[in-house]
Amino acid sequence: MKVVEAPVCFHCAAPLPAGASWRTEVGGVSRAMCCPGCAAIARTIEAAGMAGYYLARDRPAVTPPPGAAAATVIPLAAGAAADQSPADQSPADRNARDWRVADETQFAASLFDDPAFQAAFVHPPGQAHLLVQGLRCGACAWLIETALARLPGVQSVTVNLASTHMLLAWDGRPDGLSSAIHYLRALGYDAVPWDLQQMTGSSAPRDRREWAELLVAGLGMMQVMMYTLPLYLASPDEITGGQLRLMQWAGAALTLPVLFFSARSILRGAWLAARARHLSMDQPIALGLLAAFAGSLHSMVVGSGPIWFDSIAMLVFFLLSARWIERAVRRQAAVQTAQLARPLPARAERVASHRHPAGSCSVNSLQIGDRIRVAVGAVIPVDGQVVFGAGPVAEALLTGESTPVWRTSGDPVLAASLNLGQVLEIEVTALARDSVLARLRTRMEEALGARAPLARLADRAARHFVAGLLLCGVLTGAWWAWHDPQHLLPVLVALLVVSCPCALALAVPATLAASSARLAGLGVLVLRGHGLETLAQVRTVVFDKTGTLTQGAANVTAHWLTKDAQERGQATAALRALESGQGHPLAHALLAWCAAQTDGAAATEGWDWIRVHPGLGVSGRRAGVDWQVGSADFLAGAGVALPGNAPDVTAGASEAAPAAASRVWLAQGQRVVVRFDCDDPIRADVAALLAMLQAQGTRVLLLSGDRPAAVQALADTLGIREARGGLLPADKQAILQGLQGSDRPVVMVGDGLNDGPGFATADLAIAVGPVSQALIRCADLVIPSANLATLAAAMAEARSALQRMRQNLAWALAYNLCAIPLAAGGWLSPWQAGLGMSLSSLLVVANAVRPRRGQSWMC
Amino acid sequence: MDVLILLIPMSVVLALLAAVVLVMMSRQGQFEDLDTPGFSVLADDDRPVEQSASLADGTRQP
Repeated sequence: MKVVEAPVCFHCAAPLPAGASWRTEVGGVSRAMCCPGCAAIARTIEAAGMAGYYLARDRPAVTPPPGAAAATVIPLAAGAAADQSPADQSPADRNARDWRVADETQFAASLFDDPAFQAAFVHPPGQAHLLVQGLRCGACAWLIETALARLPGVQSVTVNLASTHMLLAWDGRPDGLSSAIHYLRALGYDAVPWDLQQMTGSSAPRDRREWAELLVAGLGMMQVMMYTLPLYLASPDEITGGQLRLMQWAGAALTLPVLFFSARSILRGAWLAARARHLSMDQPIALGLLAAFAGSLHSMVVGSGPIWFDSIAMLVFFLLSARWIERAVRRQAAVQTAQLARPLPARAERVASHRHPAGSCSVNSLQIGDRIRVAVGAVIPVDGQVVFGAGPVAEALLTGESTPVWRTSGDPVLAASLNLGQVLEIEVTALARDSVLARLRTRMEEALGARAPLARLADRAARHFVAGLLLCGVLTGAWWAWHDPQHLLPVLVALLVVSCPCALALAVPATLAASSARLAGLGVLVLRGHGLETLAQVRTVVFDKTGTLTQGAANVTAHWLTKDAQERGQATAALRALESGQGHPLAHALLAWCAAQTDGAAATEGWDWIRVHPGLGVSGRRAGVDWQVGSADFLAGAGVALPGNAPDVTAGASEAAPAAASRVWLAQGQRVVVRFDCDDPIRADVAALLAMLQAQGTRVLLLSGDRPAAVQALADTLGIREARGGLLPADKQAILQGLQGSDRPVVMVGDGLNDGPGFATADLAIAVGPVSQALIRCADLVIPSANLATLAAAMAEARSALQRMRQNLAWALAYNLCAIPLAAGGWLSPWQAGLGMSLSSLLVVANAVRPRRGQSWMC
Repeated sequence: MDVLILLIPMSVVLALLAAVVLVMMSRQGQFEDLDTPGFSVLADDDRPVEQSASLADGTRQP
C-alpha cells in the first residue's frame, strides 16, 4: 500500500501535531490525520462510500473539537452496509446500525426525539428545520444530503449552504431524528434547532420578493435597451414611423413591470412617507421616475420629445442592486449574531414543588425559585444555581473558557452552558428573558440597529439633503418654466434622479453591519452602537493588570506563619468562605488553592458578617473572631502588624518571592496566619498588542490596584512607560477623567468586575473575559475569549471601517456638489443623471462592505 | 422589415413571460442556494464520482 506523507491533516488541513500517528485509509491510500476525531470522521465518510467528497470540496473541513475526538466512532456495521443500496436491506438490518458518537457537543442527540423539544423546530410534522454547523462549501452540503438520505426512515434532506439551513423530512419514526443527528456528528458536522419563529418567519419571503424584483428589473432593463438601441444608432430616415412607434410602445410596455413591480417598494416608501408628512430619500427618486415615465408617455403619444424608458429601467436595476448588496451584508451580520447566541431548548423539566407538579414546561413559563432538572449532555436553559448534583459544565460560549468548570451545589450556572457530568437540579434565579445570554443577544441586536454618532449625523444630513433637493427642484423648475419651458421636464427629471442620498443613508449602516459581523467572527462582541467608531479613534488605552495583561493569578504559594495544623485548617476554611463569590481573579486563584488542600472543609455557615472592600480585600467575623484577607495596605490599615515587614510592601521584594508576584495576607484577629505569593504569568499575546499600540502613537497606561512594585515590574517587562499601582477604583476613575481632558477617547481594558467606576467613566469600556450580567450593563465591547490578539485585529478593522465611512461621506458630498448644479443647469440628460446616480450608489455600497487589504470577504 | 410588426409584439410577450417565470421561480425559493444543487448531480449514483470509485475500490468489500 502506498503511504502519502503530508504535513497537514488530510481531513481538516490543520498542521499535524508532533508525533501524530493517526492514519485513515481514504480511497485506498493511507492519509495522515491530525487527531482521532478527524480519523474517525474520514473513516465514516470512506465507509459510506462518499470519498468523492474529498475530491469535490474546495475547502478543508472544520477541525472537530478536542472533546469529541476520543468518542467519535464510525458506523459499526457500515463497512458492509455501505455497499448495499438502501432498498435491499431489511429494516432489521438498518436498525442494527449503531452510531456511537460523542454527545458532548451541544445537545444530546436523544433530545431531538423528545416531542416537547421538537415543538420548536418540527413543522409540519415529519419535517425538521435545523441549523447545520461546520458547513464549508458545496461539497459539505452534498455529503450531508446524500449520506443522511440513506438512513432508514429519512425521506429527503435539503441543505442550504448560504443560510446553513437543513430541512430533513422523515417518516415520523420516534428515533428518526436522533439517528440522523448521530450520523451527522459522525461526519464531522453538528446541528442545532432552527428557530422557526425568529428566522424563517421574518426574512425568507422578503428575500424572495426582493430577488424577484431585481430579476425583473434586470430583464426589463436589457429588453427595453433592445428596443431603444436601434433608435440611437439608426440614421434619421432609416426607421419608418410605424416601426418607430411600435418600438416605443414595446419599450413602454416593458417599463411598466419595472416601474410598478420592481420599483414598487421605492414608490410605496415615498408615498407612505409623504402621507405621514415625512421626507425620505425615496421621494426624489420616486418623483423623478414618475415624472420621467409620464413625460416619456406624453412624448410618445404626441409623437415628439424625449423618451427615457431605457434610463428608467437602468436606474431601477442599479438602485435595487445597491440595496440588495446592502441587505445581504446586514443579513450576514444577523446570522453571525444568531450563531453566537446558541439556540436554547424551549422546554425544561420542572421538579415538583408546592407551586407546580413535576413535568415538562415551557422555559418561558419558569419562575424564579422554580427547580428544574437538566439531563446529562443537555443545554441549561436558564440562569440558575445548582441545588443538587455536581459535575463539569462547559461554559465556552459565554466565558470563552474551553475547559469545563466544576459546578456543585450553591454554584451559579448560566443559560446556554452544557451539562457534561451528571443530572443537575437547578434553581432558577432569573427569568428566561433576563438570562445573561438573552441580555447579550438583545444588546448586540440593539447595537447593530442603533445609530452610531456618524450614522446619526449621516441620517440627519440625508433628511436635510432631501428637503434642500426638493426646494432646489422647485426653484429650478420655476426658472426653466420662465425661461425655457421646452427643457423644463428633462432638467427636472435629471435633477431629481442625479442626486444620491444613498451614499449618506445607506453606506454608513452597511459599513457598520459588515464590520460588526467581522468583529463577531473574530470573537469581539459589540454591545453599544458607538463601539466601533470609538474604537477606531482611540488615543489612550488604559489596561488593568490582573486578569487582563496577566492570566489572573495562576500559581499560589502559601507561606505559613504558624505550624499548628488545626490553625491552618481553620484558616483555609475561613479563606474559602471569605473568597467565595468574589469575582476578582486573585479570589479565583485562592479558591483553587483552597480546593487543592485536604484540610479545612468549607465553613460557609456561622458568619456574623462578611464585608468586601473593593480593591483592598475582604473581612468577616465568625464566632467572635475577626478574619481579614487582602493587601498589605489593607491589613496595615486595620491595625494588623505584618511580621518582618513594614507596611511598605516594596520591602517584601527582597524576599524569595519574585517582584511581579502579588501578595495576599490572611489575618486572624490581629495576627497574620499566612502569606500567599500569587505568581501571575503574562498573557502570550500582550507584547504584540502593545507593540502595535505604541507604533500607532497610542498612549498606553497600566493602572492597577495591586502593589506598586509588582505593577512597575510588569510595566518594565512589557515596556509600558506609565504605570501606577496601589489604586482604588475611585482613583482609577479620577485618573481616567484627567486623561479625558487631554487624550480622548480613552479606552479602558479590564475584566470589568472590579472597575465599575472606571468602566462607567471611560469613553469605551472593553471587558476581557467571561460575559456576565454586570458586564453586559457596563461594557461597550466584550472579548469572551480574553485573547488580546483579537483586540489588535478589532482595532484595525474598526479603523478601516471608519475610514470607509469617511470616504463614503466625502464622496457623497463631492458627487452631489458637482452633479446637482450640472443637472440644474441643464447640462445633464436624464440618462446621464440616472447612470451617475446608480454608479455612485454601487460604488458607495461596495466600498462600505469591502474587506480590509489582506482580508477575505468572508469573516 | 415588415416582419418587425410581428416580431416586436412577440418579443414583448416573451419578455413578460420570462419575467413571470422568474418571479415564480424566486417565489419557490429556487435562487436561494446556488451552490449546493451543483453537487446534487453527484448524488445520483450511490458511487459518487468516477475517480473516487476507482480510488475506493481497494477498500470496498464485495
